[in-house]
Amino acid sequence: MKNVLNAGCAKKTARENALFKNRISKTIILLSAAACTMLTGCGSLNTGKDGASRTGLYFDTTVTIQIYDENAEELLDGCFDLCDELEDILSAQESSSELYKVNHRKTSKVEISDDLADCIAMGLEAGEISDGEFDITIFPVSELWDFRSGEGRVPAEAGIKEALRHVDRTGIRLIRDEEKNTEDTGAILEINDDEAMIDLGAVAKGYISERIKEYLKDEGCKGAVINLGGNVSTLGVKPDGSDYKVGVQKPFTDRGEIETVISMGEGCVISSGTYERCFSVDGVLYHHILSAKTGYPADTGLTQVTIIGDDDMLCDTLSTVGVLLGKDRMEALTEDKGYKVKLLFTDDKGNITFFDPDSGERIVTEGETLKVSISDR
Amino acid sequence: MKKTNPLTVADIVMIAAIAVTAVCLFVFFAVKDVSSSGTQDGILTITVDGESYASYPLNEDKVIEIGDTNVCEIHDGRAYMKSADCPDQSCVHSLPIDSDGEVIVCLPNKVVLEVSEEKKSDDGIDSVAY
Repeated sequence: MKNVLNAGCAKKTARENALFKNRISKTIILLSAAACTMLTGCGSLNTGKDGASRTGLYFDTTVTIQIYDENAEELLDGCFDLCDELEDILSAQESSSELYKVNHRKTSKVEISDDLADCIAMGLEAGEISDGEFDITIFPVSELWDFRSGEGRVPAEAGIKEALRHVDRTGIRLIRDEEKNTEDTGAILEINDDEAMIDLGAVAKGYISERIKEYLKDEGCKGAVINLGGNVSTLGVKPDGSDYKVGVQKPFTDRGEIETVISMGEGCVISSGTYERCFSVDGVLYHHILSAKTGYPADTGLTQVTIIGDDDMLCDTLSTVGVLLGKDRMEALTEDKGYKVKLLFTDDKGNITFFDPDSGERIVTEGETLKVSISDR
Repeated sequence: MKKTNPLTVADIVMIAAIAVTAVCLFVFFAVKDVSSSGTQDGILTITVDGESYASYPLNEDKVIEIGDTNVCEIHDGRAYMKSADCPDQSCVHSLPIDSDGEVIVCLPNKVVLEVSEEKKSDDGIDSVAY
């Protein structure tokens, strides 16, 4: 621009030159005024408008993603495409899904994708660490209870006993890449009981939010809050630089009543509880977290276990394991394994215990709202 | 040769006009931002099975029938599910929503109520684990 103007000047007379200078000064004034207008206008438009949020229904639950980034809409498209893709693999209900096909297999050996293999591996590990209280093959029993329908019927004891015969994680063998001797990625799954079926209810949501987080990180997303059916996962920082505040719902209350507030940077807060997918018959509460040893809902005196950490899939799985094991065994387990997690228990009397296995810090309250900061800043 | 004044009267008028416009725009957007962070400027968006169904401002009381399955009400700047034909009724039992990003979901009927617009909830909670 500047060069063109100078070249033009050289060919003009003095008078023309003066007029031209005048015109330049006018142009400069006009341009700076226009810039001024644009700056004030755009500046205001941007305040507080540095992100977007979207809600969708996937995996039989609600997925809400809030993104703090200029490319929020584009990133949201990518996140929900990923949800579509993973639902096609991990849904136990959709008859087109990979898991459904595995559960309705014709042969004892099936080839599976890496996504499915990762989830099954986590599920098998949870079986090990919980000493068989948790079992990834609980599906035939959970189908009998049918907590999803909302009808609320206690199955016949004989039926539960019969279904339990097919619950045995030790009959499953997962053969990963290195042993498999084939070129393709993925793994081979060997199941010795034809009636055995896999339930990824305790694992899949954590795996999915972890994958969404990975995708957002790869895309350079500045900040995000993912709520996948109650599993909260945070990424990066908020636009104002403050910590994320994650509330934990008080069991058996309307959603929105908070019993614990956690201030944190990047990480996840994942709860499991006896107040989700449950029903009462004759004053007895039946909930969806089933002991693989009895085939009945776990009764460990806890109504909720929340795991705070940074590995979504591990935390998701551990929250279910926590309800199954109870407070003391769960604390011992996390200390023993050295998991980088913090634990939050609510018992059936409403007492809340926060426990950090790493530092040994313990906070106990009786019903009042607990505020915990785990931000490392 | 007479020296040309770089700033004529017309120039000054133009600069003044542009400056006034800039100030007006600034004030307009500033006021707009303040009002949108007020108490009753949210928009309720209703989606059914992922498809957008309807949107209403939260500052007008209204009863909305969503197909034959659900009825939602906006009252005092807050929205809630008044009734639903689903078996679990968890949407009907959900607390009213009024802040950006809050949702009520009726899973069986695939109905989602969501509040949008810039408006922080009072407690500053970003998300709730359950």
